[in-house]
Amino acid sequence: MLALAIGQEEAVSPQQFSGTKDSEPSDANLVVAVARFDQGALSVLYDRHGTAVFALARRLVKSREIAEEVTQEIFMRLWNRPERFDPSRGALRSFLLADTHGRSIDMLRSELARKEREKKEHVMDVRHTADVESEAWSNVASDEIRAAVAALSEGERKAIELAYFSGYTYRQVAEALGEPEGTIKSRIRTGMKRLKGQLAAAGMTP
Amino acid sequence: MIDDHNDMLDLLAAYAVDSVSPPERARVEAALEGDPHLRSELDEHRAVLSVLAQAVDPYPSTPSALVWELISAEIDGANEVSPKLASVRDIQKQKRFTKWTATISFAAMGLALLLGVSVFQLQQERNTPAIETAIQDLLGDPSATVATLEPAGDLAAEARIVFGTDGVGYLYADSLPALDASRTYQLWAIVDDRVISAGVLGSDPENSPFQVVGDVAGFAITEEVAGGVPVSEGATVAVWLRNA
Repeated sequence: MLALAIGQEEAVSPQQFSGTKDSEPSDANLVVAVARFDQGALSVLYDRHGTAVFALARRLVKSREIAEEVTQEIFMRLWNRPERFDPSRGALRSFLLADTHGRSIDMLRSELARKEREKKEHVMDVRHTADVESEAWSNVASDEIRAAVAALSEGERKAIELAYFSGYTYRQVAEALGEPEGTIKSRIRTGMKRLKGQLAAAGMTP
Repeated sequence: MIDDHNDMLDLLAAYAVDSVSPPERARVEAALEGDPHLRSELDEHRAVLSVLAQAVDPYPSTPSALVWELISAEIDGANEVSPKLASVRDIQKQKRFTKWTATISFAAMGLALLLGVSVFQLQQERNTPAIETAIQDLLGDPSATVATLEPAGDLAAEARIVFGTDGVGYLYADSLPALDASRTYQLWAIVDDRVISAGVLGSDPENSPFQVVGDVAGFAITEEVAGGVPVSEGATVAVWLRNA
């Protein structure tokens, strides 16, 4: 994927990336440099996106230590498999956060599975989480994003909260909310579409 | 059919938030392989989620400086990395080794390049006194490697490379015949398990700097269309393999 994108990139010198942070090359160009084992380029990308990666991981796993481990893994994945990033499919930040979410959820689910073995009140946990997660949106600083979230139906909002921010499968969400599984999947999808429309209308086209 | 499509779109949204089961994940990923519209829909979901993820952040903190140190140490192959990361890296190395020992050859370069290649235009600073001096310095450095690329095709092409332990090197192509202006030579390196472009050399190359980070297993020069290519399409004209 990366190979196909290279032709669209401005030709650059490999030396440009070694230890320099002033020229502000694009993320895509830096990933190309990473593909050439330029550690300086990875360092710049870490400076740009490391905090966002860490923040999402910590939001999900709720542990600084595990979030730091996830952050390490995400950047090592970028180092080892830079060709997984295709700049024609979106921003590097989105790519890294999708990776971060997946890895964090993997860790979270192993922890949840462990807890589930220890006690049977897992569904109750999901219900409790649903209440706690409702408070998550109050942390949103952006008026535009708060307005976009407010445009969701309650069902859409809860489905996205529980699935994305709490790491539950849509089946677990369905069970906790007493809704059919298909309904939860549809709500996630319609909610995502609605958010996209709202963000676009607010000039925040993702 | 429409129902199937809608089901897949619903499942895709659930996949985007990582809330599907492993078999469903595999099903979605198989569908994504052959459907650019689905991929586009997934990209849209991920872009929205990226905005949300950055907006909903109750932990306005940064990772400790140790995280980057560990990443850096991991890259450098130092011993202080966590056992978990070390094991991940070992598995990846094993997979690559298996894959590449079976396939790596310059004859298969085109295929190999699809796995991850970059193209760079080398700095246009050839034959400057500084480069001449740098080449002479490297040639006098006992830790540097000197490689002679032997002719590999019909063209009587030969070139020499000297590169240091820091990966900085120079190609001094004193016997590469000049090409038509519509063509160019391109330098490729095998680094660890990858074949990467080390530079577009031009139609009449002379001394060219490059930088390669990692264990270099070989170099090759190919003849390509002017401007260079991300995937080699031309003939290999000269080759050096470390263990040949």
